[in-house]
Amino acid sequence: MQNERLVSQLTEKFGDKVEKIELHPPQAAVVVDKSILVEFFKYMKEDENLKMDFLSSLSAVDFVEDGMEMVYHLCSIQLRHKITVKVKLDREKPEVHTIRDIHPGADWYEREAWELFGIDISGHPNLKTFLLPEDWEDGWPMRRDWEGNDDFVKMPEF
Amino acid sequence: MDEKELNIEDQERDEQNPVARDLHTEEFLVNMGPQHPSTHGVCRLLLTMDGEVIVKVEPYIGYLHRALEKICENRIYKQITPFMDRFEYVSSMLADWVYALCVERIGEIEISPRAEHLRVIFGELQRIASHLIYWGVLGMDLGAFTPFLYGLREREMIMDLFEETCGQRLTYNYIRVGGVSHDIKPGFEQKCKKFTKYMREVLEDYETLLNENPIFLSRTKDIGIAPPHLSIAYGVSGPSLRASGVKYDVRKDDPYGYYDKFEFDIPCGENYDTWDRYYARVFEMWESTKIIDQALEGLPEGDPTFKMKPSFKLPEGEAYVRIESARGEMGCYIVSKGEKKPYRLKLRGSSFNNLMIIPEISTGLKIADLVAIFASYDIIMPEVDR
Repeated sequence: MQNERLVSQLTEKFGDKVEKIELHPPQAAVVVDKSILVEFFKYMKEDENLKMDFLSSLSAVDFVEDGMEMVYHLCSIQLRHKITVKVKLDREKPEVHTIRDIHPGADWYEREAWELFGIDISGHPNLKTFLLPEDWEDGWPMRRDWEGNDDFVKMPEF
Repeated sequence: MDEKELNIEDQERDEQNPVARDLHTEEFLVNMGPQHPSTHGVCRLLLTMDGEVIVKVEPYIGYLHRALEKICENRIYKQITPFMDRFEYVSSMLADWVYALCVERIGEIEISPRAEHLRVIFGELQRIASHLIYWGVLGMDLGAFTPFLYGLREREMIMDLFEETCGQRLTYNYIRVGGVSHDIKPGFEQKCKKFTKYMREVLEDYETLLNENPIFLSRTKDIGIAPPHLSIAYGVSGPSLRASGVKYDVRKDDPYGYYDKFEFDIPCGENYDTWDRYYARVFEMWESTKIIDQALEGLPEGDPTFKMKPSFKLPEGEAYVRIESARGEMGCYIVSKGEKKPYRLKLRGSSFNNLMIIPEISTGLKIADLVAIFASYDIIMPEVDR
């Protein structure tokens, strides 16, 4: 019930730029057009009925043929509700604007997505290697089609 | 003489003195870590210093990066639980829990009430064990050695309870998908009750050791103040967030397991400083003993174990599940495509966010204060690097 109210408020506000999606298990989830991403997060943080001020997690997912996704999990400290926000990215040239000005906690998560998935985070001032070795030149290891380098040992099928 | 005249006199004096004439100050860099004892693992902090004052802190992480998320993509669901122990080895019971909970939520797997009670009991014992390490190490970092010895002494008793039940002392692999790996042995309940009673007695002792110790107070009071809005913005969670005056606990506000059936209180800081972060943990130890007692009281009968087949396939779906670990919100995000292996598994370690706020609040302080702040946030590096 609460989930539906959340999602309908967002779809009413942003029209066709925000689309409701059904996931299993049931949760409030929307797909947002990346052109309005910053505006969208700003609205979610400042609106009285939403107050989505806590960024729980930010992950990138690579669906090889179906492009890539950035998945934001947010919750509200005061109002105790949660939402899943997805942004679809083009796999050939993945690019998304940073949200670290709204949620400073997104900083390192975005660096991670840049480093491990090769997603270009525009507007991020500090994109440098931090999890992988400094001399890493073997591509983006978290992409599903990553072939591996010489050190990579693939598990035999169970 | 007014100020201007004084300056002129200073300048004249400096010109006559060859040493003072060539003297100039500049900022310099100090590497703290990666092998520094107070960084609690391999974390390098690059400090820009102006004399004794910190101008800028830049954390360099990744020394422990083992690509856990990539490894998990190549393992079947049953094989992943042991990796969760390595994800967060100081409270690995809780790391097992978050993974099991995530798989259960997507697969809609029912848990027996006895298993739920055992999870709460072991989860809270683990929280006490983790906070004991925290308490001891914080004391040791600030120059008091007694807490460390006391803390490990009590932790040993919890380790014994764990060893008796699942055979392990650090990486338990105990909370598994669908239940737990072993039922408790006869006599466990009595031992556990005895322990919580003993723990409450020693906690009274603990409070006399550090709480009002003048040296400890001067190192922690009004040091590293993290106001509520800043903590929330950086995604700080757990006792550190509660010490910042935000009364938020995943166990209460987004309940999982049987936590909504038990009564307990959560701490709330008033000064948002290092001392509050310290006391939030001590307070939580008190509350954890209460939760264990309540969970032991109504322990239902039944079989808490669940045998998972290697050919287990998770239905298509995705979920982000979070629990309250000893350090804060620990999350697990699984995307399943209906196969034997997860399509994507993302782990959220609370230390990852807690480390991000440290540069923000430690500028303008001394290195010794940074040591106290770092210890008070209870950073565990494998959780940051994964």
